[in-house]
Amino acid sequence: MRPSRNNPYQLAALLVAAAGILLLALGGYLTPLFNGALSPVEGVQGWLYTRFQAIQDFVNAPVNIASLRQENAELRAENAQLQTEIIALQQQVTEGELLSALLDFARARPENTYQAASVIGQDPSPFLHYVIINRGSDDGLRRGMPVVSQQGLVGRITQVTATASRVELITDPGSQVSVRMQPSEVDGLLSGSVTSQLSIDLIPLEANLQAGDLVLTSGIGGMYPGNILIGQISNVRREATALFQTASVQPAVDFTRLEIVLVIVNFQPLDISPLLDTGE
Amino acid sequence: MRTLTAVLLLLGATLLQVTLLPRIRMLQGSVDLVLIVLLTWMLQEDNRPDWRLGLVAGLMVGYASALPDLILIVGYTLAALICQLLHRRIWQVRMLTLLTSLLLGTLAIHLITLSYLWLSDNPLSAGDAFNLVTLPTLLLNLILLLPVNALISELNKLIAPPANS
Repeated sequence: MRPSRNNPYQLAALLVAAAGILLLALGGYLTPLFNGALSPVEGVQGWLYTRFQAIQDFVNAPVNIASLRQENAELRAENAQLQTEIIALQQQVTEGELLSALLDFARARPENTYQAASVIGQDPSPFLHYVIINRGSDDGLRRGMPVVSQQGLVGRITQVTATASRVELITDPGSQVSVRMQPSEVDGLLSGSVTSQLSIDLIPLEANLQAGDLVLTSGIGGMYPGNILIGQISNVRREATALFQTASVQPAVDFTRLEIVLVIVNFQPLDISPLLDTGE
Repeated sequence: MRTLTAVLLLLGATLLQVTLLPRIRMLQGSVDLVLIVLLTWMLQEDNRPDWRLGLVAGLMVGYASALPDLILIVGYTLAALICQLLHRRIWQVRMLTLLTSLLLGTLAIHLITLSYLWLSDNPLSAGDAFNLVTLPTLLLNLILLLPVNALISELNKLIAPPANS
């Protein structure tokens, strides 16, 4: 079948056929044909390669499995330790942010002197809303001192030991705070409740209050310093037969997440009870 | 040994009650772990119910609470007395005694606390107090009763194994 030297037509036909096939291949027209022809070969090649690789892995597997297990255990222990460190660092970052916010709060009111304290417990009775902080008379804390957080008023100290104090939250049913609403500049009396809801009573009927008005301490009564934020009015109730209006307050402080608080140590609460004695 | 264990258990329960458990709330109610531990310990087999443990529990909770010590001492002692009384009446079914004691004990402590708060001019609504505090507390106490009972039973066996074992 070799082309004869003396048959130039046969040679030319072969060259034309080869050039045609080459052009078709370069143009990509033969790709499906090649793919179809090569796919069974590739399948067989892949099958053989994976089997060979498995055999190679089995033959070359490290003999000392024990050392690998030990290394694995060490790495796991190191991983657990690093995870613990990450959690501790995240806690420190959170605490740092909180302290930074408290510092900003303290800097905004340079007239006050503060003592920072951590909340270490809550009252076991569900009827009372008190927390216990880790600073006491050894740190200069006294009964009646107001307690704030970076968000606003928290409450006041009702009992002090050498190293701890009990703080009555403003949400406690027994708590009462003289407040002033802004921008209306109207005074009222804020009370807590067993459901932790705050409400303001003794608001004059002619006062024009709106939801969203700010509620701050008024300083009247001498129990708290003035102008500490308490929250915002969420709802005003006015009844035709009532002598006063009442309003519900959304507190600025999240009392379920109290961690660090500031005690205003240079505020001396006034005892005005002798002045209230009618002498009857 | 048993009394010492009981006091240590009550101390641990009081610490948990002050630090961790107030965060677990249903409406305004929270678990009274001290009461649960007190009653389950009193009703363990081989334990003779002793109302004086209620006195210890009341003292411990009273120290941690803003309520007057006397109120809590009376409350927990009353709960312990109810448990002791019921143990004599329906001692055959221990779990029934435990459930009834827990129910009546919780009600007794809350009633005494509420009475004190009303007398000291706290504006508390009886309906709110019952619906939002007492009922959720009862439910949480009942939920926690079974695991605490199982734990204390195991502890009791550990301290004083039954004679036939």
